[in-house]
Amino acid sequence: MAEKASFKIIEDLPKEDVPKAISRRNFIKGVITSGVAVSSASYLFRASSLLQGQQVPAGVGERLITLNVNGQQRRVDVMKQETLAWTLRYKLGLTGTKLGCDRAECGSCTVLIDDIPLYSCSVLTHTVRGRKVMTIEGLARPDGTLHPVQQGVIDEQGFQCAFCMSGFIMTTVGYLKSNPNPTRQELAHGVSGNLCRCQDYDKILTALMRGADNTRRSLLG
Amino acid sequence: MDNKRLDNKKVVETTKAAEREYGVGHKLIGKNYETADLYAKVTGNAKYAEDFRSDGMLFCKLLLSPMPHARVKHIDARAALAIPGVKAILTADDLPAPADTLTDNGTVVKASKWGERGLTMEPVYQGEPILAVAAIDELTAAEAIETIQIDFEPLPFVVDPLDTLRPSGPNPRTDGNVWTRPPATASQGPGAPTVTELKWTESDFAELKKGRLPMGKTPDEWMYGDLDSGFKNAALVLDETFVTPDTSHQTLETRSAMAYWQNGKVYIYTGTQSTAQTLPAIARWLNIDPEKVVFISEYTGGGFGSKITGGVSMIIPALLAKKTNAPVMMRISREEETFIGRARPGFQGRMKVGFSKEGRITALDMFVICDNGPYDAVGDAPSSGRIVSLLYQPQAMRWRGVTVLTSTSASHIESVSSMSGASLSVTDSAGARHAADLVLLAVGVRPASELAHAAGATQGANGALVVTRQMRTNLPDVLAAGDCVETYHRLLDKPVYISLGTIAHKQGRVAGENALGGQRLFAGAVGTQSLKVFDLAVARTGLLERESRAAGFDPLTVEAKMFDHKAYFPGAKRLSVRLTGDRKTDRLLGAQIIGDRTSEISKRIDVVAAALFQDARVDDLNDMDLSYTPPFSSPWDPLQMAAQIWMQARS
Repeated sequence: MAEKASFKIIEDLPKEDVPKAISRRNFIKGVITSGVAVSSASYLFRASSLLQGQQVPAGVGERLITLNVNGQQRRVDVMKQETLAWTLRYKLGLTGTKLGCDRAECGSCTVLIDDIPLYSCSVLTHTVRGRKVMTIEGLARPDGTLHPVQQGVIDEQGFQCAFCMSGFIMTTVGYLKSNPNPTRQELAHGVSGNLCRCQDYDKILTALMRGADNTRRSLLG
Repeated sequence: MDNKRLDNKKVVETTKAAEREYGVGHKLIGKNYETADLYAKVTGNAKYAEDFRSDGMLFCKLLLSPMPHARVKHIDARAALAIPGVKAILTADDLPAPADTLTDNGTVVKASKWGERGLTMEPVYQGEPILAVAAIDELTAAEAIETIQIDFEPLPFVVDPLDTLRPSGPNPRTDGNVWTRPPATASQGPGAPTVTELKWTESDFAELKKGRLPMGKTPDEWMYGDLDSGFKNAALVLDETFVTPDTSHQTLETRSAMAYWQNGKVYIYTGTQSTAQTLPAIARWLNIDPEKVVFISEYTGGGFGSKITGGVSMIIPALLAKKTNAPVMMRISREEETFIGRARPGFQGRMKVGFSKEGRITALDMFVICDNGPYDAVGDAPSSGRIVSLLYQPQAMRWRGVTVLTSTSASHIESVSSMSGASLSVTDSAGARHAADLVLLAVGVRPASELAHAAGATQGANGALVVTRQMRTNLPDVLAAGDCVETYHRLLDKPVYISLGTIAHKQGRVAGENALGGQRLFAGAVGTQSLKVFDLAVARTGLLERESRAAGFDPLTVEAKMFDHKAYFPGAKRLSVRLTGDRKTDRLLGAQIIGDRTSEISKRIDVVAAALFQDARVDDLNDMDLSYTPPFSSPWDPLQMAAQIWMQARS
C-alpha cells in the first residue's frame, strides 16, 4: 500500500491518451497482480464510456481498431492497456475463451494468433492488428461440421468440467500445424502450457491424439 | 447451439456383440454415445457463470479484510459513493437475519450466531469480505473500493492450531477456539454445536520439545478392543508424528455469480455441484422461501467438494441486485478465490501402531488435531478415524481428535509467528516443529533467466539476461527487467549484475512503457543500498576502493568518525563515513556509512547517490546546500566533513 503514491504519476503518458480515471497504477496492478489484500483491482474491465452517460471526447481512452477474428473483420473500441482475452470476451461476445488465472499460468485463454497458440490474457489487443486471431468459436465450419480435434474430443469423451477445454483444443490445433504426427509424449509436451484442475490429463491426451489422427485423415481425404 | 443433438443423446451405432454381452434394454452400457454436454463445450457455446450477460448489468467488487482477525470500528464510504457510476454499497448491516436450516433428513438445525454470513464487521480470516460495491463497471467499483477508509481494531489470531491450545494461547474467535456439542439427554438429541475454549497444560506441551506432537485433552474419543495387550503382544511398536497439508480446491472456474430479481423471485447464475443442495442454501442465506429462488447453473468449471452448496458469497450480487434494482455480476479473481474459495483442512497427528511378526496391526492409537478454519465445524477429524479403522482393520483401536478453530481460511501456507510470545515455530521438511528465538536465512541471488535463455535470449554477467537500456532482450518483442537481467552501471558505463528492488521497479517501468510503444531509456544504477541490522543502519553507494581500482580509476579513500548532529544537543550518536574519490580528476566515486538507525544513514547515502548521479566531484559535495538544525546535523554535515578530509588527504 505504501507504493500507491508512486504509481499515481502519469506524466509520461501523453495527456490525450490517458483514459478517464484509468491510472497506470490500475493497469500495472491488472497485469502484475500486486498481492495487496485490500485492493481487488486485478481483474477488471471498463464499460463503454457511452454507458456512463458522460461526455467524453472521441478518441479518448478507447480507439476504434479493426481485428481479424475467426476470418471476419471486426471493428471494436479498445483501450491501450486492454488484453485480447478481455476484448474477445467482453467486447466481441466470444466467451468460449476462458479466464482461469488472468496471469499467464493456466492456459484457459489460449487462442491462435497467425496459427501460433498464445495466452490471450497476456497479449495486448492493439498488438494483433493485421494478424489473424482464431478462437474456439471459429474452428467448426459454418454448417456445424466440427474441426477434427473437436471431433476427437467428442469421440473419446475427453475432459470433465471442460473450463480448460477451449485452451487445450486451440493449443493442439496450433501444435499440429508444426508437428502433424506427434507421439503421445510429444503432444503432452505440446500442451504442457495448459492446466486441467480436474487432473484429467490421461483422457485429454487420448482425446487430443484422436484429434491428431482425425486431422491427418481429413487432410488425406 | 445444436439442440437436436443435445436432446436426443444421440446413440451412435451399436454392435451385436455388445448387445449380447450387456443384454438388451441398456441404453448406454456397451454402446457408443455422445454425452449431452460435449458439443456445447467443444464449440465454446457452453455458458459458465461469468459468460452470462443481462441488460443494464452492474458489476460488483469486494473489499477484503487485510487482517486475519479484527473488529471493524468505522467505515467511511462517502468518497466512494460520490464517484460517478457507483450505485450501491453493501455491508453486513444489509444482510438478512440468519435462518434455520432444514437438512435433507428433515432435521431443523437452529441458526448459529457463529455461522458465516457473506460480509462481516468482525473478519475472522484474512481476505474475508467486509463490504461490496456495485457500479456501472468493474474499474469504477474497484476505484470506489480504494477510496473507502476503514478503522480496524486488530484482534488476536491463530494460524497454527497448536498455538491456541497452549495454556495462554490466543483465541481465533472472541468466544473460544473449539467446537463442542453438549451431550444428548434422555429426552433430547445432542444440542447445537457451540464455540468454547479448550487449553492444554504446559506438561502436555513438554512433548513438543522432544519433537513429538503433544496430546492433551480432546472433546472426541472412541475405542474398541484391548489396546494395552495389543501393544504388549506386538513385535514392533512405532510412534510417529505426522502432518498433512491444507489442500486448496482452486477450481479453474472461480465462484463468480450473477443475479437479478424478477416478479419477486431471485435469479442466481453460478456454478454448483448439486442444484438440490445449492437452491435451499440460497433460500436460507437470503432468508426467503425456496419457491422464490430460481437457480441457473448450466455448466460448472470444477468443484472438488467446494461447490456442493457453494459459497455464501453468491448472495452478495443477489442483495446488491435488490438494492440497485438491476442485474449484478460478481466476477471473482484468482486471488480472491484463494481467500474465499476454501480448502480441505490439514491435520497434525500422531499414530502409535503395534505390529505382529506377520505384519498384522494388533493395536492402533490415533490422535489428530484438525485445522478447522474460523467457521462451521468440518467433519474431517472424525472421518479420519473411521477411514483408518476400515482400511487397516486393527484388532484394537483408539481414536482421539480435536477440531480447532483458527484464523485461516484453511487455504494458506503462512509463516506468521504467534501473537502469544516472541518465539518462532519452524516446521522442517519432515513436518517436525522447532521453537526458535531467531531464524537466520542465508541465501544468495541467482537470476531466474532459464526460461528466456531456453527461448534464445543471451545471458551475460552471472547468467542474467543481456538487455539494452530500453530493456529489450535480443529476442524480438521480448523485454526483461528486474533480478533476471543485467543492470547498466552509470559509473562503470557497463552492465553488471545487481539485484535490488529499487532498480527492478525502475527497469520494470521502462520496460512496461516501451512494451506499449515507448522509447524510454533506463538511466542506470550507481549501486545504492541500505540495510538495518538490529539497531545499526548500513548503507553504500557507488564503488568501493577495490572496485574503483579494478575499473581503472586512481582511488583515494578516507574514513572518518563523527557525531550525527551537534554533540551539545541530546541524543547525538557517532557514525562512520568512508568516502572514495578519484585522485586524478577529483571525481566522487562512492561512499559507505554505518551508524545508529536513528542517524538518517540511509538519507545521507542518498545525498551521495544524488551527487554520483550528476557526476559530481568530491568538492561539489562540500559546497552543497544541505539542511542544518542542531537536533539533525551540524553546519558542516558529516558528509561534508568527510569531503574536507578527503581534499586535505589529496593535497
